Amino acid sequence: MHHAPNVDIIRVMCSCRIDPTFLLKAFRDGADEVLIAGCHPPTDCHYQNGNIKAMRRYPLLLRTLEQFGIETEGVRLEWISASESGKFAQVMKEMTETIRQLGPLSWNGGSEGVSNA
Amino acid sequence: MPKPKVAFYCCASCGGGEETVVDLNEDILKVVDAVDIVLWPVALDFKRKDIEAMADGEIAVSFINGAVRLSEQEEWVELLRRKSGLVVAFGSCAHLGGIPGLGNVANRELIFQRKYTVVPTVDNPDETFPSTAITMDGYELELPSFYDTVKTLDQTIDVDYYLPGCPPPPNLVWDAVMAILEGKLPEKGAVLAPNKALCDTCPRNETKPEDLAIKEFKRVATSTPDREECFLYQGYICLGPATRSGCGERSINGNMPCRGSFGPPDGVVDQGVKILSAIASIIDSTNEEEIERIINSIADPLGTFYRFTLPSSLLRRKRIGR
Repeated sequence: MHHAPNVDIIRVMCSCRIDPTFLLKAFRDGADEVLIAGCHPPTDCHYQNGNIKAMRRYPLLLRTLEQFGIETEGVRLEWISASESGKFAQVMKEMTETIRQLGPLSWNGGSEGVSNA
Repeated sequence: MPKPKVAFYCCASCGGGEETVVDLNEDILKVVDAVDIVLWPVALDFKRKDIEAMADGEIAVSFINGAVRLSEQEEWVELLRRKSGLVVAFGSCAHLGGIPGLGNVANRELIFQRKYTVVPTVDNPDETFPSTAITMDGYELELPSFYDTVKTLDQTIDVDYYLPGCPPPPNLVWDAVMAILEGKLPEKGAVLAPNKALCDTCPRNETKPEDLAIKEFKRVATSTPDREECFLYQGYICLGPATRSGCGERSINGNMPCRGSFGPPDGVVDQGVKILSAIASIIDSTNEEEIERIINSIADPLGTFYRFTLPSSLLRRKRIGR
């Protein structure tokens, strides 16, 4: 499996373990894009319905992040099971392309960031 | 023994917090007996020079309400910090940013554009905007500068304690004043209110089913909630699950869902995203399209979830321009 090297992987037990707080922290700490990857709904969840919870949170999170001025192209939810390395590599490639076009988010460095300037 | 000196000051706020002090009613006389009020702009005439003339640490406690939006407010709170033993962030705006903090979805330029040109009731053909200095008839006049970003009090100066609420209820104010006078204060940085979620003390908690499930979001603007049932159960967005208790359930008793003015309980960094997560998780659907349709019935997620906490949230403000 070959994919772009510019990704930090954070392993969690289930996509529903991804508290949306994590995404805000990732952006605040300098991530340009975030991928939430989970097992295919409706039946692939080891915990029965964890992925469904992630599925419910994603669109509301997306709308809220959009209101924060974060382009939604940079926040993806993909169902990628453990055996789908090809799909993972493909999504990584696409996301790297997306960020090349959007440019870095650089939350703290932007001219209208959190400073008083 | 001289009475301890107390100051009240307000920055970006509506004055509702100051009103709470008056809402102590006759108890305020006991407070006035016990302390010397050295600054209280809404009620008493003291000037900045009076405070500047005091020794550092001479004021026992300053209760500061309001968020920090102007350079003048920053100067005032820095002065009060120097002159005070304790600083208490008083009310939602000082504590979390509050309603003025919603200004962080814009910046100075956007706010000035709207306020001084776009608003239909404004007639400003020369497009005059506030500036920090102007010379008129030989006099140099100054105005404070207006920041792009609203800050909480503790993003500006060191804060010892927090009194939450919009406004803080009189009983919590009273308890705080007594704790200070008797020297029975908790650890520095504490929020002087209970540390439970509002649902825990909500009179409607008993009507909440084991598993909440929402098929459609309702708004109090367009329909009237039942007076007994859990708001979330009825489909009204209520911030109770992610909000600190202690307000006296004033909204709930007025048949309004909680809007979150007390901020989150200890341990929660970002109240808005926590309630977002909780509410999205109980949407009663497993179909992506239907979920999206239900979520689109929420008119303004950021304004709803971060109504009082935008400046204190993880991202603090909207990003304008890349």
